[in-house]
Amino acid sequence: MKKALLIASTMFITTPAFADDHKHNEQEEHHLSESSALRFIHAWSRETSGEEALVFVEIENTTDRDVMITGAETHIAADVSVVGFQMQSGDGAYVPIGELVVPAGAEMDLAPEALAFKLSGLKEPLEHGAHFEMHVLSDGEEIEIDVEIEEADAHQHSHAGHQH
Amino acid sequence: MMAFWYDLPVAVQDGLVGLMLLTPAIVLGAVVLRGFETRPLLFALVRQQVWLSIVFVALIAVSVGIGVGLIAQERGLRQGTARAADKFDLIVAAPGSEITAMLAAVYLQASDMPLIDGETYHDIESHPRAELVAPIAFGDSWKDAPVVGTTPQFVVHLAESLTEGRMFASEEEAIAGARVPLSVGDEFSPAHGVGGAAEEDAHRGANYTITGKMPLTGTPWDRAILVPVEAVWGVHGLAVGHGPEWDGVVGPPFEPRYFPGTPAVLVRADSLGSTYGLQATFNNDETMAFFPGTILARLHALMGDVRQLMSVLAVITQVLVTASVLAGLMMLTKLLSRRLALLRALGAPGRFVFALTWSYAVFLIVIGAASGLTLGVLASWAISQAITARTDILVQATLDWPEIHIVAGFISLTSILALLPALLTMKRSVIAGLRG
Repeated sequence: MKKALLIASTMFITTPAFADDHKHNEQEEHHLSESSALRFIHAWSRETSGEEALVFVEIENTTDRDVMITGAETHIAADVSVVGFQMQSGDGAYVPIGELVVPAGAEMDLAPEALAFKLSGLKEPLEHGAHFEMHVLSDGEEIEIDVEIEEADAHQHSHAGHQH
Repeated sequence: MMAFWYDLPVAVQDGLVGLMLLTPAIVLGAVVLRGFETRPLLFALVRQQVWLSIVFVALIAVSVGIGVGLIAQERGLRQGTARAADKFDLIVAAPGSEITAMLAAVYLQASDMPLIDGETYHDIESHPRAELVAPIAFGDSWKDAPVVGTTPQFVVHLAESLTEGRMFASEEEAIAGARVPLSVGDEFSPAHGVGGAAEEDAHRGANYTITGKMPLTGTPWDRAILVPVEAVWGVHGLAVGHGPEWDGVVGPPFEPRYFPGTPAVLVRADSLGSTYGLQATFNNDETMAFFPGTILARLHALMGDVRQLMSVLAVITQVLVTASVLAGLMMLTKLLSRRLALLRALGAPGRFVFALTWSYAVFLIVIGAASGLTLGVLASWAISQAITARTDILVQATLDWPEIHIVAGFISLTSILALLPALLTMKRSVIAGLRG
């Protein structure tokens, strides 16, 4: 009887832990995408019903050579370009920068008031809590990343700072 | 519909928003005044109550002016600080506080900072995508002017061309900012440190001659003196960045072995994308690389919340002042009740008295708001001059759409409030009015 109680209590204690692990692994799958040279972590965008949106993501170059990001595409927007934040006559603006070179072994943070993927001609509103897929083109590879939509005034991914 | 809106030029969008905000007042005016010609009596009323009208208009003007001035000033300050950082694409410094490094390198608010060594500087300088790499070595001063060690290439980048004289060519020469009270040919000796604690005699024997003047840039660099970085190292008894065979020509390339260090380095790459690449490369355990524009934009985003709060407070203040004016107006109409009652006894409909009272209130509000706009612009111009004089950052506060939107919204809101005294006047008994 004691043994049965012990097994039952162990199950109650361990089952939520397994559930947490499973949930975390699922989230990790969403938050991390890898190619042979690049790791994309915590891709996110902001809720909007407008025509444009910015996608931010942390990129790590895991090789000892520079890697070039040549473009990106997603089914929810007519066009995707890489943009960089720049001050122009006292006002900030995101301007197209063409191709993006991720230096060898470096981490590049695409973040507000820095670099971003700009989605133009959005075909549907972006709603908080939803996800969409985006394909990044880099040195002949196409990497699928899962973009999480945060609140309209978010400044970072809701899991920013977590290790993957 | 939204696509059409986004396709419109920004100025047209702003104009339409302003018009939308004014629409309630316009519609209300059309409805209230429909079928009546109130202007002769309105102007007669204003003439009769000229001093009272002036007081009411002045109260509204001051409250609107304060709101408009504050908002214009905040924008002018934000744009002025950002313009001052325009030339500073990427700053590389030893790891620490980005804000401290930005204040020191861009706004010349000197601070004790660790130095970047020769090897690291060489790595930055030899990066294939770096177009301009220049040390910014601060710490000395002359009177209130910081003395900054750098290269001729940095002076050209900052000033583009000199208004007077020529570039420094040796360790004994210097370029003065536009607001430095030194002319070409003048000599000075630098003090060690900046401000009250600066040691005047620490560099006795070191003398510079001004060989050129920079144009006005609207930045703290207008108050700076730029000297060859070799001279700054030399007066501190350090190696001068070049080996024993140095020919005396100031500027790069520097030899890592003889490079004593610099607190900050300005980097400009061949493109914006490359600049971000350089930032990623030099943001590591040994150095931090940051965009002053990004730091400022984040600070401005925080200020943006304050700006919204200021806008709301400005409107609340304006509405409270207008409510007081309208309360005063109610008392005035009570004083004028006999004349208004006589008007009605002569056959004027109640709605005419309503329209006359409302149009008088709205007349005061519109004149007050327009005067407030002018007052706000004048006030912010005066404050901008004072800030520029104190900080050397060129602040230009001008009237823009946000202020016009606030005033348009204010006119609409208060024209609705003005219905109240008009309604009370109309409801007042004619007989009671005639009896006084």
